[in-house]
Amino acid sequence: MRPARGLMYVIVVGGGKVGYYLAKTLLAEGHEVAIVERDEKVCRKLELDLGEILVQADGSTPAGLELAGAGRAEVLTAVTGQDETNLVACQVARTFFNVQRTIGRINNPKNEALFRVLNAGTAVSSTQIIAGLIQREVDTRHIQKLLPLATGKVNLFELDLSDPSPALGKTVADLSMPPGTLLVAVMRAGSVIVPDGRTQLLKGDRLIAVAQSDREEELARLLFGAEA
Amino acid sequence: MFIIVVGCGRLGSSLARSLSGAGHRVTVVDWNPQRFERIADLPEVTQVLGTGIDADVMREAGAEECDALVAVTDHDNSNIMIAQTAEQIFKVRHVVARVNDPRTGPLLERFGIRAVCPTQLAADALFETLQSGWADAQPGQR
Repeated sequence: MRPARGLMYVIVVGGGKVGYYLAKTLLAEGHEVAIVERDEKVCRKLELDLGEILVQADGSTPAGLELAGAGRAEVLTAVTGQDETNLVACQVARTFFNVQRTIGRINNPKNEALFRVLNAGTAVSSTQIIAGLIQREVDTRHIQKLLPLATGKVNLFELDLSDPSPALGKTVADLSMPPGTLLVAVMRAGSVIVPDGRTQLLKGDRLIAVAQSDREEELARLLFGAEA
Repeated sequence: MFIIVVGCGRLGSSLARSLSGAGHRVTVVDWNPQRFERIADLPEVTQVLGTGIDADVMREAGAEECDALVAVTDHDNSNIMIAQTAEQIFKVRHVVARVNDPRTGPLLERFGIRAVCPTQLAADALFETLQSGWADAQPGQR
């Protein structure tokens, strides 16, 4: 059973820098945490600070995760530096211990597809995140995919209205958003407006919208014009 | 047959040698170029430099066309990942992984990976050898 107030038991596989700060962050949020680290030397370093929650074991094996009590974990996140170890740890957690939510850190963004095919959970790629942020800087269309929903059938977008746009000055009703798209929020001068038909779009607004993947182009054309 | 061997250590290189000697078309993948020295005398074997856990590297090695793939890097988890990629993404018909830790048995079974564990094979062989040694020395006893 899940503890009160949405607090969870989270197993962190890998006690490197990512694992260390992740564990500290989760502990500060009140979650119960265990760090599973195989390497003796790394364990010695963690011991002073996180000794009580440290399990010295191979977190990519059933025996190691058994030691960490994976049977009652709500979340397992594997953040070693090795994609293969993180993949196997997530798979072991799901198949042997029925852990519902598994998150693996990957270096190679292409391994995200493998996580999906093997039903290993969510893959998080810092490479992809940084590349996405850079892409956002150079993206002249000012449209940025924030989050895929339902494995990419629908996406959450951020749209930047800092440059001239045919949408400026129009109300949401005048804009007539294409079917399969929805304007969710307007961020303006540090505050967030949940828009209705009367909300007027102004220069400098940043919009959050959901759109079906086959409607993305239409949405971009509507907000940024034909040449976008 | 066209066979890809991932890992050019002692095991991978001698396996590539045997397979090539038996007339198969062989490609070997390893991230460490120095390891290819072990098969420098086998010009008919194709060398691909790169890590086997990268699907692009495996595609370049011919994973989409190969008949069989053997994962024999030094790391069990790498071999498990390479084997699963070969089966699920590239649909390779015959896939075998080497694992060093005999305790991975139940895991491989769950994931449906065919594997060979040299540690276990060696332990079994040593046990057999010892046992037959005793049998020879002391007939009638075990």
